Parts: sequence; C-alpha cells; structure tokens
Amino acid sequence: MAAPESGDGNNGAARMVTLISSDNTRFEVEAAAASLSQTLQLTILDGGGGGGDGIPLPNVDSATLSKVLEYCIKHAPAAANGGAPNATAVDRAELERFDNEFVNIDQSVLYSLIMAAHNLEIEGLQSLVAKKVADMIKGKSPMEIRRTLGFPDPTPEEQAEMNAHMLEYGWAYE
Amino acid sequence: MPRAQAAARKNAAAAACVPSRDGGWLSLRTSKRRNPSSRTGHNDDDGLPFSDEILLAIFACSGVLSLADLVRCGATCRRWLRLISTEAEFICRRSSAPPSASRCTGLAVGFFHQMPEGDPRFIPLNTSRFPSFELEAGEMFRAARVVVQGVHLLQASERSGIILFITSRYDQLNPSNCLYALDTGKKMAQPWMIVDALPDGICWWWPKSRGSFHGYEMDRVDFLASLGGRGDGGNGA
Repeated sequence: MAAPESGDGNNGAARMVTLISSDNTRFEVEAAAASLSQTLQLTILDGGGGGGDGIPLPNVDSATLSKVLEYCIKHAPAAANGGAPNATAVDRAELERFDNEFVNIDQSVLYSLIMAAHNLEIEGLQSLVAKKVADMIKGKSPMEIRRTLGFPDPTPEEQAEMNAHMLEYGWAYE
Repeated sequence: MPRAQAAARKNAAAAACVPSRDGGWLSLRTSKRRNPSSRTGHNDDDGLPFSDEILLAIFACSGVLSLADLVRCGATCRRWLRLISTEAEFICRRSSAPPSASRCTGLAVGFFHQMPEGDPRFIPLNTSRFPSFELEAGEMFRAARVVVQGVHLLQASERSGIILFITSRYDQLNPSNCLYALDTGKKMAQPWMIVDALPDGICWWWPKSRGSFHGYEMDRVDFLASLGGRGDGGNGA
C-alpha cells in the first residue's frame, strides 16, 4: 500500500539507486525497494539516486540502513502488487515469519530501527516496530514497563504517583 | 474534603457521565489521584529517543494494547500520561479492539459504597481478591451474601449497603437483570453503581429510582482523556 501505482509500471523494477548512510557507506538497491520509503519515493521518481549520485541519509547509520533495506527488499514485491491481493497464503505466511524474526533483535537495534523507519516513512516497518514495542508493553505494570524500556528509576514522587494510580485503577492491574 | 473544590476539579468526562448528579461521586473517585503540589511536571522526559509521534504510533498500534494496558501506560511516566490523555482520540481511532474474548473477561471494576453519612465512595475492585468468587475474603465483605450465582454474581451486604454486580459480558448487563437483582435482594434501595471495563469503554449503571435504571457509557476516548488530570493546568495540554 505504501508504494502506489507510480512505482510499478515502467522500468522501475530493474532500476538501481544508491543510498549513502551517515557513516558514508554506499548501498545499492532496487528503486522499487527503496521506494517503500515515502521520504525517498519522490526523489527516486524524479530520477535521483542513480548513477554516481547516491542519496545521502545523514540520520541513518550503516548497520541500521542495512537492516532497513533487508526489510524493504523482502517486502518490495508484495508492495509492488499493491498490498498483494493476489498473494498466496504461503507468501503471506513467509512474510509474517520474516517479520517476526526481523524484530527479534537487541533493544538498541530496535530503537535505531524505529527512528529510521520513522525518518524514512516506511509505513509497514513503522507498524512492525511499533507493534513490537507495544507487545513489550502489553500486560506489564508501569514499573515493569519502565524497566523493560530502560527508563531511569522513578523519583520517589513518581513512585508515589504510580502507587496512587494502582490504587485508583485497580481493575487495570489484575 | 472541600466539595466545591472537588466539583470544580471534576473532569469533563465525569460530567458527561453523571449528568443528573452533582458530580460528588466521581469527584471523590478522582480527587485523591494527585494533589497539585505533585504536579511540578515540566520535565516529563522518559529517557527514550522517541518523538511523541512515534510513541503515539505504539500506543495506537492496532489491536495490541487493551484499555487496561493504556491505563497502566498512563501511570508509567508523566510524558506518557500526557500523551495518552491529550491524544486519546487519535489512539482510539487508530487502534481497534482485539477480537479476542480476553478483553471481555471484565468483572466489575469497582462499586460505590454508601457510607452511613456523606457521599457514596467508589471502591475499586481487585477481583484477584475473590478467587473463584469466594466472598468471605475480607473484612469488608463479611456480611456479604451471594444472591444470584451463575453467569452473574450479585452480592449484597446488608450491613454496609454494598451491592455488587459482576458480569462477564456487557450484554448481560441489562435492566431486566438489574430489576431481578433488586427484587431478589431486599432492602437494597441504597444507591449503587456498576462499573465495567468494556472493549470500547467504561460503563456505569445506577438506579434512577427503584425499578428504573440509567446506564451511561464513557467511551475509551473520554476515559483516557480523563486520566490526564482535572484541567487545572500543568499537564501540558
């Protein structure tokens, strides 16, 4: 869905573009895959990123960018089909398996990925990482959430607020 | 506690919910939440690198977080509370209730206790206190007896005037059930209220008069918005 009709028809599939990470690593990928990023899509449609040019991504380091592109390459064919209405159940199951494994990563990598997905506006990836964090939050107490996500320890005042909240909304803590 | 102040701090959602009352009930429920002196709150940094927009995408993530999850998120830190309460509409619009039945296990979340004098007080109910509906668990319920058991459990304490209606399903909460309960339990004319957590919100019921029931639903948006404070400033709206 992220890649509208504009990306499929002409010779877009075979075209390659170059993306340059913040630490100056160059990544050459198919335009169709990079176009999952709405941020990049217009530039690519305008013919950018080809040849020796490359599109600089000053906010994304190479480790993160390679991870992002792994996602884009895997998802590009389905996206080119307009959300793949004709995809087989096997295809969908394979993508789901890929997604689940894809976010099974260190928290620091996950956080970088969240930032990158957001900067590059890759809709599917944004949902995927948001869901991962939501799953990490689900069913936990406020204190457990804080620990899971690596918040600083609460101040006594914050602790008191949490306790009061638990008393008041006991039903949410069952 | 000063009633005028409590009434003034009553949030809009509660006002919508209790149009025929003076607001004292729900004000009691909410006013102990936090006092203004604890609301220094300018620094609500949670230490995460995420923008508000990213956090909201997480909260609104379709079908993952239940209403109870969001309520707990609101207690996690001030920034999250601010986001959840001010952006409740966005969050609820984006997220849809998960299809699973687990959302509806909801027992009553609390009840109103009619004190000998003064306003009824809301008593939040932690149902883990009542494993398999054994009711003699606490002093508070010593005088309780089960009036109807089955899918519904109606518990009445003649001494304290508590009536508690526990249901596992929203659609089982209907006036005929309630009337039946009133008929079965004698001397239960005291005000009482049922609060239930539903996939789409919080539901409050209370008798308008004997034999006549009013039900009000506070939807998810209003409820989450009400978490954010009393509109007395300082919550970064």
